[in-house]
Amino acid sequence: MCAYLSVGGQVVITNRIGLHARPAISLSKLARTFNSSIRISKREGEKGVDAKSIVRVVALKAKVGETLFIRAVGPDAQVAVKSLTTLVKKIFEDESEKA
Amino acid sequence: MNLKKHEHIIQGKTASPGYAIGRIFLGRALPQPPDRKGDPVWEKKRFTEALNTAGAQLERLKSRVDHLGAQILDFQLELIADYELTGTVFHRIACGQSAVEAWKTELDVHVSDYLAAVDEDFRARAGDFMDLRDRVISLLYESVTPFVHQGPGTIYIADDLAPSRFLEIDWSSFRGAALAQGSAANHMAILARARGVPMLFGLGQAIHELEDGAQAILDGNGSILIEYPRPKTIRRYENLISKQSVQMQHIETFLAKPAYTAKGHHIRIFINVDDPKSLTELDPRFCDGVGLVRTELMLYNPEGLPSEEEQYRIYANLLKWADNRPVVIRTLDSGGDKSSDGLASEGERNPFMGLRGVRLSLVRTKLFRIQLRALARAAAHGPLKVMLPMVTDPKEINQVRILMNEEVENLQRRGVAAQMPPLGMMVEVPVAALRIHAFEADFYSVGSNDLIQFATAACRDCDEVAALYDPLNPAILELIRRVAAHGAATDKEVSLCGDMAADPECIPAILDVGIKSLSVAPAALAKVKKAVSQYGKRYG
Repeated sequence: MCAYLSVGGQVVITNRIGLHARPAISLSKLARTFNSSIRISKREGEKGVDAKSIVRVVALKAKVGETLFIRAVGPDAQVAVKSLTTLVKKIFEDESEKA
Repeated sequence: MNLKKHEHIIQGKTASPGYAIGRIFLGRALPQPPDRKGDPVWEKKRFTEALNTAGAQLERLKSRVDHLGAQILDFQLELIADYELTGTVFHRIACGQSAVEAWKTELDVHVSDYLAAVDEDFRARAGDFMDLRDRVISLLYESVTPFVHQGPGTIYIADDLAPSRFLEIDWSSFRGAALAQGSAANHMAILARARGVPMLFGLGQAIHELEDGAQAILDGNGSILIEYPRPKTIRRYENLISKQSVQMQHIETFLAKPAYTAKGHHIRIFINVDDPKSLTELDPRFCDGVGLVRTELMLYNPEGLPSEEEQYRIYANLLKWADNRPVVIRTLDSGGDKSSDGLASEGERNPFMGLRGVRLSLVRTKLFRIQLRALARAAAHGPLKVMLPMVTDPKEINQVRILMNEEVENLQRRGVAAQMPPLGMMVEVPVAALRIHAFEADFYSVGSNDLIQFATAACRDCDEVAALYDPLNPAILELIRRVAAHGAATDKEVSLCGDMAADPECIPAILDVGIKSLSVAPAALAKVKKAVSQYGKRYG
């Protein structure tokens, strides 16, 4: 059996209203482009929720100042975590301009 | 049971006048036929079909609305596609629940979860889930008994309407609307009147007794909704409507012509715009330009203001539509009755007199600068003017001018095309009208709604003091005259925007005190031009 390493990353939410509908859509859409299983949580070490599900990602109700912990297991885990943290940072840079 | 089918009247309040005869369409409430449950295989098929249809409906709707509307619908489309949501429903169905039961139970879990959220922005998600829940449930019922409700000739009934929701609705297929609450009544009134949609609010619990599909008359002039009208009542309203439409046809002949008084003075008529969609059916040649763009309505988005780029595109498109005619864009006027965008501070005892308009903009400068940049960039493409709401102190204009200058210079330094637009002010605070010479604005526009409210100390939405809120109070006309005189002496344009500009009874008094430009809702253009044409007839 081929065991994949688990890859982790984290990113702080910096926009005013948090991980709301629009950023959550972008995040889950991007997550779905990877083969790895990707989970996202608000506390390190927690099981978290499926990052590919918009319902679960929005339900995190992640607010400004909270940290998102992203953990991926699978063939493209490394690049998945890197892309997702970059995306979240970028979204919040754009968003904080607005907020 | 039969008793209910008798004519009965529900009293409301008028948000937008006019008459409508049509069938009741219950916008939010669920249809109530018994849920005829089939076996799991059939229920699963029924659910899949309803989901697909809901998806197709939302996609269709999305192609019709503007960018901001599309984002709201996107979220629901994503929800439909999420197996984490639908998978649970399929599981419930496999365990023996009906499709309706399974879907409703699952969605209600999410709705109550979001309703319990501390954060207001997340609480707002409950509305998205409810919206989707109700759409799919009504589709599920439709696959049992065909449900004839939507389509032209219906009267939209709902508890309340969010501004974004109002913008989503295709008002060409509804004849009018009646709301139980109407917490944003003033807000809705502006939107509804601009489209000529008769609308009532504050009908209360009585709307829950209404029957979907029942015949009804909405009387926006008498502020009542009549369910199961008697034939006699229907005939009476048909007469009123046909009389009105004869008048309308006569009025419409004025639409395409420029406005001249009986003595031959040209009065410039501009339009108020709060939604670019209201322009698609209007020929820009019918007006002299755009006199007021209410950006707090146009940019409304529950998720925060649009970016500089999006705002720039919106403003540039308005200029394109106006085809070299001036476009006056008012900077954000959040606060007062328009605090739904979450920008204004909450908990003020008297929000109309609190931190709103340019006061708020000068506090939230980071946000304000985004709007100024977008405006300066758009100004490079045509005759765009910027107008500041709620100016009270001459310093406020100078402060904005400094900010605007900085943004223009920064943009130009970066090689971005930008230009300093003319900077005007709304005259809606009495001290500004009294001391108008001290305000170094490039143009002035009298905002009569707030000016009357502040000068008479009578608010617009309180019936008991409505008689005091009098646009024709000589003191109000004196305030307007001062502004017009200052404009004439300094060769600066003075216009009047606000409800009284569209009121044929007020127009003679407005022209009497020297106003030469009016800005009105697109639906009022022809009526206003007709009133102008009759001005001075008796004397000349």
